[in-house]
Amino acid sequence: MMVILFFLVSFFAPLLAPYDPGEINVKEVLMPPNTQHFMGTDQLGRDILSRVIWGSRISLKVGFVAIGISTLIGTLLGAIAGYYRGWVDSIIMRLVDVMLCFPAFFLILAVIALLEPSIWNIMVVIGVTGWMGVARLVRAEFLSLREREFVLAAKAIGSSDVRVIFLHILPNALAPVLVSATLGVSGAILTESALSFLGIGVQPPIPSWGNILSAGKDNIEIAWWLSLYPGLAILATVLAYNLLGEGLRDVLDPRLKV
Amino acid sequence: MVIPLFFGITLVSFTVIHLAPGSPTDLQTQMNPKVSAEAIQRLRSFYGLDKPLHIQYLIWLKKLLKLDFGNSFSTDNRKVIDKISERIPITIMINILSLLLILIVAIPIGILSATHRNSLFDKLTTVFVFIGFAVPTFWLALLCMILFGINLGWLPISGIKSLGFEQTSFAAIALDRVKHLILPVLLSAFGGLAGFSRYTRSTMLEVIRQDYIKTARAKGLPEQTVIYRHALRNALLPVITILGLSVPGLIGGSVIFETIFAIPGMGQLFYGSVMARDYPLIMGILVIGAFLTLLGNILADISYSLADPRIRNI
Repeated sequence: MMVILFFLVSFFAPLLAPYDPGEINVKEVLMPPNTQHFMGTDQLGRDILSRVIWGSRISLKVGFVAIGISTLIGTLLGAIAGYYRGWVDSIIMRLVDVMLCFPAFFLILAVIALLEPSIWNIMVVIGVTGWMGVARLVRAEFLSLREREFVLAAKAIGSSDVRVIFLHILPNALAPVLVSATLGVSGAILTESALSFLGIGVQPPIPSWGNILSAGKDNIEIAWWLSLYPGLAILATVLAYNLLGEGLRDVLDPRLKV
Repeated sequence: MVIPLFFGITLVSFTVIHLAPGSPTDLQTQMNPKVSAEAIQRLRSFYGLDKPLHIQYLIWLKKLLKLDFGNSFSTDNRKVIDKISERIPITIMINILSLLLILIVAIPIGILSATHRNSLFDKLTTVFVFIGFAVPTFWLALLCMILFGINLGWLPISGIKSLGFEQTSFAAIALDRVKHLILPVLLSAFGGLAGFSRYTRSTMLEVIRQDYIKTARAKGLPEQTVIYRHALRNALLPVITILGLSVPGLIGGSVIFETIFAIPGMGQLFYGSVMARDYPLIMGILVIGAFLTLLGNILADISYSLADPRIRNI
C-alpha cells in the first residue's frame, strides 16, 4: 500500500506541471481521431489532451477546497458536540441525521439551481453538504478523549475550554479526520464531475473532466474519444486518492499500535 | 423519533427554497415595466409572501401535509404532486431492481471472499472493488452505451420501451422492457456492488472469528452449514442497516442515469426542473426524496429488529 503513496504523489505533480496553455484554442481542426492530437479534438477543435490536463487543475482545486470546507465545519461541530455533550450534542446530532436524509445529489442540484453554477458556489455547496461524516468521527473521538488524564490535567491548571479543545484534544483526534478527508477529496472530485456532466457544474469554455464528458454524450455516435479519456483521468485520480486514503488508514490505525 | 426528523427535513427544505435570490413573483413582475407597485403588492399578498417568515413556513407545512406542493412554474402549470406521482413508480422500480441485483450479486461475492481469504478470487475482487469505488458511474454508462448500444447494437440506449411495441405479443413487450432496463439497472447497482461486497466480506470475517463458529465446527457440522446457517445470519445483520443507508445514494444516482438514458422517472424530472428553475417542482421533489430516504431507513430499522432476535423484545 505504501508504494501506492508514491503513485499518487507522482500523479499529483506532473498534472500541475506540463500546461499547454496555448493549445487550448486551436480552433482549426474540427474532430479528427488521434493523430497528432493524442486524444483527439472536440467539437470546437480544441485539443482534448490539453483540456484534460487543465481539467485536472479544476478538479483538484474543487476537491481540496470543498473538502477543506466540509472538514472545517464537520470538525468544529463534531468537536463541540463531543466535548460539551448534553443538549448541544443532541441538537447537532439531530442536524446530522436530518442532513443525512437528503439524497446528497438532490440537495446539491437544488442549491446550485437556486444560486448560479460558478466554481466557487460548487465548492461551497459540496462542502456544506458533506460535513456529516467528519462530524460523527470527530464527535466519537472527542467522546473518548475527553475522559483521558491529560484533559483533566489541562483543566486542573485552569485552561479555558477553547484552549483544551483546540490545543489538547483536537490534535489527537485528527488521524481519522485525515483519512476521511483524503477519501472525501476523491468523492468531491466525482461529485464535481457529475455536476459538470449534467451542465450545472463548471461551465465551458473552462475545461472540467465532467463537461468534456458531457460533450462526449452529445457526440456519442461519432466521437468515442471524447467519452473515453476524461473518464479515465477521473478514474485514475480518484483511485490514487482512495489508495492514499486506505494507506493512511492502515498507517494511522490505532489498533496496529501495540 | 421520526417526527423531529420530519420537521427537520421540512425546515431545511424551507431554508433552501428561500435561498433563491429574488422572490417567486419576480417571474411575473420584473420583466414587465408596466406592472404597477400596487399590483406587485397584491401579487405578494396573494402568495402570502408579505407575511413574516415563520408564518410562511407554517402555511407551507400545512399545505405539505395535504400533499399540496403548489403548481409547477413550467408552462403546463399542473399541480406538482401530479407530475411527481406520475414519475415515482418508474424510479422506485429501477431502484428496487438495483437493490435486488446488489443483494444477489454482492453478498455471495462477499461470502466467498471471506471464506477463501487471500485466494486469487479474493485478490481479484478486491482489485475490482477498488476500481469500482473510483469509477465515475456516468462515464461507465457512456462507455456501455457506446459499446452495447452503438457498436454492438445489442441494447437500446434510451427510454424504457420502443415505439410501436404495444401491438406485439406479451413476450416481445416483456423482452423489450428488459432490454431497455438492463443497462440502467446494472449501472445503478454498480457503485453499490463494490461497497456491499466489501462490507459483507468484512462482517463475515469478523463473524467467522467468533467462538460460536469454532463450536459449530467442533461439533462436526459440515462447513457448508457452519457458513451458511450460522455465520451468514449474523453477518447479514449489519448489512441490512447499510442497505437502508444506501437508499439516498440510489435516489441521487437516479438523476444521472435517468438523464443519460432518457428514462421518464423522478430523477429526470428533477433535472429538468433544476434546468428550468421550476422552484415548486424542485422543492417538491427534494422533500419527497428526503421522505423516501427516511422510509428506507425506517424499513431498515424494522427489518433489523425482525432479523435480530436480541432486539425484538424491546
